[in-house]
Amino acid sequence: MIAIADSQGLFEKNGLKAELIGMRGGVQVIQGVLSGSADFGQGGGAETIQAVVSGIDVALIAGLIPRMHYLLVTRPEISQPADLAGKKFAVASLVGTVIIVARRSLDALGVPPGRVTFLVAGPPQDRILALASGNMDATVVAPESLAAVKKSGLKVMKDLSEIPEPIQLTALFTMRKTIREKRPLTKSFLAAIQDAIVFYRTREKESIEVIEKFTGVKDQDALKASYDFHKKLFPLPPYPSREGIQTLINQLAIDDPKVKGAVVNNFFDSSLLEELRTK
Amino acid sequence: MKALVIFIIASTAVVSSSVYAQKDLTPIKIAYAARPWITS
Repeated sequence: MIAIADSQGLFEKNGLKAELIGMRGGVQVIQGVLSGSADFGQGGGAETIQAVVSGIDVALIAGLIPRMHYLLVTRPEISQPADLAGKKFAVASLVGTVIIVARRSLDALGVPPGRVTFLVAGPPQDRILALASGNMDATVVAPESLAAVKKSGLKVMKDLSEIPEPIQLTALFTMRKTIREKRPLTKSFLAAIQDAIVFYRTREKESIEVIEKFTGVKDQDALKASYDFHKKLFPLPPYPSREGIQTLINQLAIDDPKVKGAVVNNFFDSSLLEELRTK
Repeated sequence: MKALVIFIIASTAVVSSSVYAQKDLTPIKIAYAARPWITS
């Protein structure tokens, strides 16, 4: 959404001149916001929750996608979810969003996550290669990887966004100090994001062009698939999902004792969006 | 007709963009994770 807002002049429309700073992952985004290098962050809800329980005074101010915006991909001979038991499941790392999605998808499909072996295979192109070569059996990837999945002869077993249980994987956040001291600015930022969601929902061609430029993905089929996939997922207003945060807490608590017993209300502030709604 | 509509929309976009650019804008910095879009 920040790419849409930036490219379409929606930050300017709301009185802002935005500088976008790309970072490698969610942890780096949190560090950027914490250090003051950035005012706002767009990144993983999981990393934000872990930051809060580590004592960082950060809060989710909007939730961009409250579902698992991923595809469950398997080798072609795997015909049903139950066949995944005893198989090797490729993940990006043993912490973070991908393994959370992997576990939740297995749970939702009736396969206890403990019945598969999670193995680190790196970024999506490497995970797809691991499946194509027969070294591993399943993985989850974003829809932008759909073309690569098909080219490799692999199978999409499930569009995981169809699983109704909310999970706040992607969100916008800032320091609570910023909310207190720069409230009008923060509301202007969120107003621009809301404008971007409206634009995305209604301007397919231009939005796909922005995604292409922003991601570097050139495959038009993959871009269209990504657009269609995400269009149905962006909420308006983009309130953080309480249930989605709770799902993340439950998942993170499996590996991180600090997250156990965490209270949902400590992780988000939806008052700014509420004020925008009633303005 | 279609070309005319496109021209009008395009012209409006240019005008709007220049109007925004003339306002006093407050600078903000936004960090984003490449991961959800590119590597995951």
